[in-house]
Amino acid sequence: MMLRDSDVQMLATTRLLGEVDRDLIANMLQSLFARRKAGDVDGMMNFLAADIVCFPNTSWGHARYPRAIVGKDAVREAFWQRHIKYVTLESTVHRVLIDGDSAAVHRTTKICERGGGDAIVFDAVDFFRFRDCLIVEFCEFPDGTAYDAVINFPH
Amino acid sequence: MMYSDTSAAAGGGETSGRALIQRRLQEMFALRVAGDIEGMLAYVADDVVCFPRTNWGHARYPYTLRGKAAVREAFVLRQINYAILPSKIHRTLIDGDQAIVYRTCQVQSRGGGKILTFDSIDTFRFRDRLVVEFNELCDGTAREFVVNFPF
Repeated sequence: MMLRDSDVQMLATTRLLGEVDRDLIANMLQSLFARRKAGDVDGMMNFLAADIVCFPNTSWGHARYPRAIVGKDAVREAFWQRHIKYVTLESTVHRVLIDGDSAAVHRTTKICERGGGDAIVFDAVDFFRFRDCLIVEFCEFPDGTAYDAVINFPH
Repeated sequence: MMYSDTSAAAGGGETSGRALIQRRLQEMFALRVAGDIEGMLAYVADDVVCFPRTNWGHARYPYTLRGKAAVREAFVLRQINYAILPSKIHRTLIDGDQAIVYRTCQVQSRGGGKILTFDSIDTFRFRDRLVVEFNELCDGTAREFVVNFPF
């Protein structure tokens, strides 16, 4: 199929816009994880939409977050409570895929219980969905070793 | 970073790189359910790395399989013990030469007939239209099934 110059130009522009969005999402994810590691819960909230859905219901088994948290205020509260119990020590990102308005991140996280000082290391794959440069859905799928840290997540 | 879509504008014909990967994934899952290991391996590069080493814990495949012959042997052996039932795909993300698929899998033990249901996040890397890296990151309920994977 032959394409007109205008079609080629339009496709090139569309691709360019896609790259801009992609860079934007990549930068936001980097900042989000940096805020989370720094324990800056309010800083994290800057990236979330007011109607965010956190840990939506899925069939992921074993180490599974107990409930969906809906809305920015509820997410803020849950993450603050979580921060009282656990501190994030390290987060190593292994893989980032960005596809349109969605992103997936595979990473290794090390968290430490503030009470006993026990460290838990686990892997997780996070899925994000974006709208208007804000996160509207966040889903975390941890490996089975995260069981204790995950099932008691405040909600 | 660039998108890998070749699209018609770049002379890629009717099939973009993205669409091709999407179709390949669908075909591979269908062939797996049909128990057609040879058909599945037609989409796999000779130097494929299956279950590369990661930090994924609990339900973790015990060894890395290297090369098409090793993958064939392991999957045929697994086919003896388990029948793969259709899986439900929840999300597919494709970015350049990589893809990630989140799905609910069902396998049935051929011996007792027990069906095991678990979720898995599969990662793929493609080169020259063939899979060169494949991994399955499973939820904790798949532990028994996964740790005894033949190799």
